Amino acid sequence: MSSTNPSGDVKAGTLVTTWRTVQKLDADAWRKLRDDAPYRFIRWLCALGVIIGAWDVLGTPDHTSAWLPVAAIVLLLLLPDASSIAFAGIRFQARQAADQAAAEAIGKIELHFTVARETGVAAGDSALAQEAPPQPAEKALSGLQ
Amino acid sequence: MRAAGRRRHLSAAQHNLGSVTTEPADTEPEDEDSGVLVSQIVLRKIHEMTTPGVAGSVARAILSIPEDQGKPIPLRVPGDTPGTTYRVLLPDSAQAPAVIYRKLSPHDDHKWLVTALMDRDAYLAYSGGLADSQLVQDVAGTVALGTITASDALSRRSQR
Repeated sequence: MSSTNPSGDVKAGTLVTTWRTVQKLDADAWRKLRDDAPYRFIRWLCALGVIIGAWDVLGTPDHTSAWLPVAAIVLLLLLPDASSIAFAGIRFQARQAADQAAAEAIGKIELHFTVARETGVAAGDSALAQEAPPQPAEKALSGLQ
Repeated sequence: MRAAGRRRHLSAAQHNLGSVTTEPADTEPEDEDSGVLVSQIVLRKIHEMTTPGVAGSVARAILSIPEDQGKPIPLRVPGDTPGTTYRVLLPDSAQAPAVIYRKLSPHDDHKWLVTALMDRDAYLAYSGGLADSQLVQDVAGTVALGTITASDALSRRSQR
């Protein structure tokens, strides 16, 4: 007995669409948009506006806790600009900084292998240097100086 | 200094006493006076250089070897006797590769053998600290053995 569930298919389709949308948010284009100067400046302005507005509305607060919501909003606004945040043993590293660190690590590994390859070829050539009879330098290089 | 020595050497060889020509007993062929031998691999690489001035720069560096003592390079060459020391000279052209050479045995007529050319940037990185890296030494050893094996295979194929 086979049964089809149209509502289940619709839910699965919605989930897939949502997942693809989330993937798009993580794309390079989105990151570029996030890091562009105008948007960064707008975020800074918004953070400043929130602080000034809150000060105007709340006045000088009696307790520090009264500023917690303001601090939370400002933090959320500035979070995309932070390369890394470490708090209470938890480290948040922005994607851009992580990519940069990964690129540096790959560059180092690449340099190691390039140098190793060139050194290996030089060592191999040195081992084979007398396989064929070497030539006196003055005679062999006379036309090149 | 070496050239002057050769001139003195030739004049002694050509000195005539009437009909008798005297020659020193240790006369060497003229083309062996440089004291430096260059391997066929290095010569092929030099002749393949296309950038103007680079081959000449390498040639000048090679011909300056006895006077211009290079820096030692820690090179692990398969099959070498323990204690074999390699030295490096950097030619005057910034695009030219480093010249690697070693001293020949005292029984040899020549003093030096140019064994390899090495990419200049790679040499600078190697001598700048990467020579101490175990990863670099391991990979270099593998590549060296591969180079030797490939050469052996080619020579065997050409002999058939």
